[in-house]
Amino acid sequence: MDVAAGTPLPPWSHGPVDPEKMKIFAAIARDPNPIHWDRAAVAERGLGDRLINQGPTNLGYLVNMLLAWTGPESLRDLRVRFTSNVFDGDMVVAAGVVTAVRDAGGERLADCEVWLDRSDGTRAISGTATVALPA
Amino acid sequence: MQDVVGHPFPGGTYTIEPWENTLLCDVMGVPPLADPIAHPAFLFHATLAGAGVRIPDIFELCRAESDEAVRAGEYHWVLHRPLRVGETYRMSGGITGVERKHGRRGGLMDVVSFQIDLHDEAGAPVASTTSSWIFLRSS
Repeated sequence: MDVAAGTPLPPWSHGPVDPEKMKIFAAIARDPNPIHWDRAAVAERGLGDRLINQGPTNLGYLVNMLLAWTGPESLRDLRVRFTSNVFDGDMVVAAGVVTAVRDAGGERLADCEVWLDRSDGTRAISGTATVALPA
Repeated sequence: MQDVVGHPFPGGTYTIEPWENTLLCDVMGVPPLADPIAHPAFLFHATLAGAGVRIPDIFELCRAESDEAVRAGEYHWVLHRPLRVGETYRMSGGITGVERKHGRRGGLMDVVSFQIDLHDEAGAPVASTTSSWIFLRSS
């Protein structure tokens, strides 16, 4: 794989975000917050009229982008900050850029800046990741 | 709030079941990864469950004023190797820090950090997660 600082990561697009998946994740994660499955609860809290996707699911989209690029076993480090919500019906794009390539522990690693954006341009997640590059 | 720093989670084990990996991958918008690799997104809820804590437990411990008064801050995941379906992991961890801040938009808040470490049944480290949740305060 020909990778160097400045190499863009292949974007990973997803959507529209499905509210039914939010219900499944709420059950899996035992997350009782109704903003993920009750539109009335979202409105009562003044958060709009669409369900709010769980942060870990948004993070999962970012992981999908990385694993699609370097393989399912490649993730070594991920540090992110949540900056905005993603709502049901949103389209999202995960993307990034390589900031450094280095050798460590017998592996060739790529350090990257990564992010997840909504289709309106709002950044939902930003952070850094390290993946092992294929031999 | 500094009284919660050092609070240990009960600890315990978690096994990634095939059906759960299938459902989680579906939620994440991808087919299951190459068998037996599990989706790294397990590092959110599986670590909490394995460490013996639920989301409401942390809210209560950190004296959340309401569900809406809690925000996700930063997550840091370190993987020493991939998670695998069918494997059992031993989880341990607890609250590692509290920092009081005054945000321009959020006002007064406590940023609570907690760490959970995963080891396999042989005791080898598999992953470590550090999370910070923001608890907004009215006073």
